[in-house]
Amino acid sequence: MNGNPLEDLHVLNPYGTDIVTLNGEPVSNYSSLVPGDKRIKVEHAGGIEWTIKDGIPYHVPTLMKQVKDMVSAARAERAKK
Amino acid sequence: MSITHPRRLVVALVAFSGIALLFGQGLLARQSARPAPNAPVHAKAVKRLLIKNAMVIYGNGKPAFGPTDIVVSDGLIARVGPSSPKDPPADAVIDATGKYVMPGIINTHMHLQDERGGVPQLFQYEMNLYLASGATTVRDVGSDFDKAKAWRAESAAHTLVAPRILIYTPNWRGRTNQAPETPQTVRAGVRWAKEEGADGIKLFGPDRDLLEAALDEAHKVGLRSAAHIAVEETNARDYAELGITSIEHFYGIADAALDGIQAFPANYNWAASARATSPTCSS
Repeated sequence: MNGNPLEDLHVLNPYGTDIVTLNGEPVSNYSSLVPGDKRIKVEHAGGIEWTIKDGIPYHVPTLMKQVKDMVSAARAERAKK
Repeated sequence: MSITHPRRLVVALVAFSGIALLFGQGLLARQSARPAPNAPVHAKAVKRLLIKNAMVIYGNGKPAFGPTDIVVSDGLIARVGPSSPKDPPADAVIDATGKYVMPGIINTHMHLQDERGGVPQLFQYEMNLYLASGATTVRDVGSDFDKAKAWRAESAAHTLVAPRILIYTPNWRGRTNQAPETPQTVRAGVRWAKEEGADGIKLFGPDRDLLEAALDEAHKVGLRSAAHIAVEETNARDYAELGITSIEHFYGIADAALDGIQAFPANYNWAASARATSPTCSS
């Protein structure tokens, strides 16, 4: 998500990473929505779940957990110096 | 190919009973959090993988369609369409109900690296991030050529968790001790890159006669090409005319629309006034 959609609904990512739905149906014209409208709810559904390369499934939450661990380990190592 | 569950901005118009919708969305999220008994194992090849009930973004511009099923057999998409009871059983199943499947992303501009500015960085770190972002292919446009070739081979053999790697090496220049460069030395360099197993060549602003020789030779030997355009003798139009595969960065693209060159003041010193920016999103 680029920016906070509640602050500026008109700069929603044009590349399709975000979907606006109205009662479950995707909508393409959301120009009538007003930022701050109490009826608007932002829901983060988790992004990509599996990336499949050459038929091998890679589980994205697992990949990201590993990244987090790598960063933690690198920071701990740096703190020792 | 990657399965996405796009972040949703749910617009619940209470006057139109949005409560049921919200409940439904929450239910989906809870279902996907629970691991299915026959779900695939991370980074483990399966002979026959079934993706069920997916909305399919085909990648050729037509709208998404579905829900439907996808069978991946021995690493290849065998079928996109409804399953039949006669189908052989799948070794692993992904329930994509409420989710989308889209072609894997090709990152066309990145650099394979195990350090940044002399500070060591785990090679795996970026590879995980690329895969997690849905990139199944990356195009390396400048790195340590020998290391890159090793990583490419490991990725192809699936001994490394990484996207498929294509190497566009800049190392084709300066292959001989002859100075200055000539069209002949440039051609020899391109042939060297081909023999050394590059997928393409990366160009950093050769003058037009050398550019012409390099791209002509690249076409002859079957190498693709990527050009870093900066302030130089040639602009995007020259590269396009001579058959470049891709243009990286920005400078020279606007120049290509000019008749002639920019009307700089006589006392303009480019080095002191400005630097060409490279708005390419890249690591």
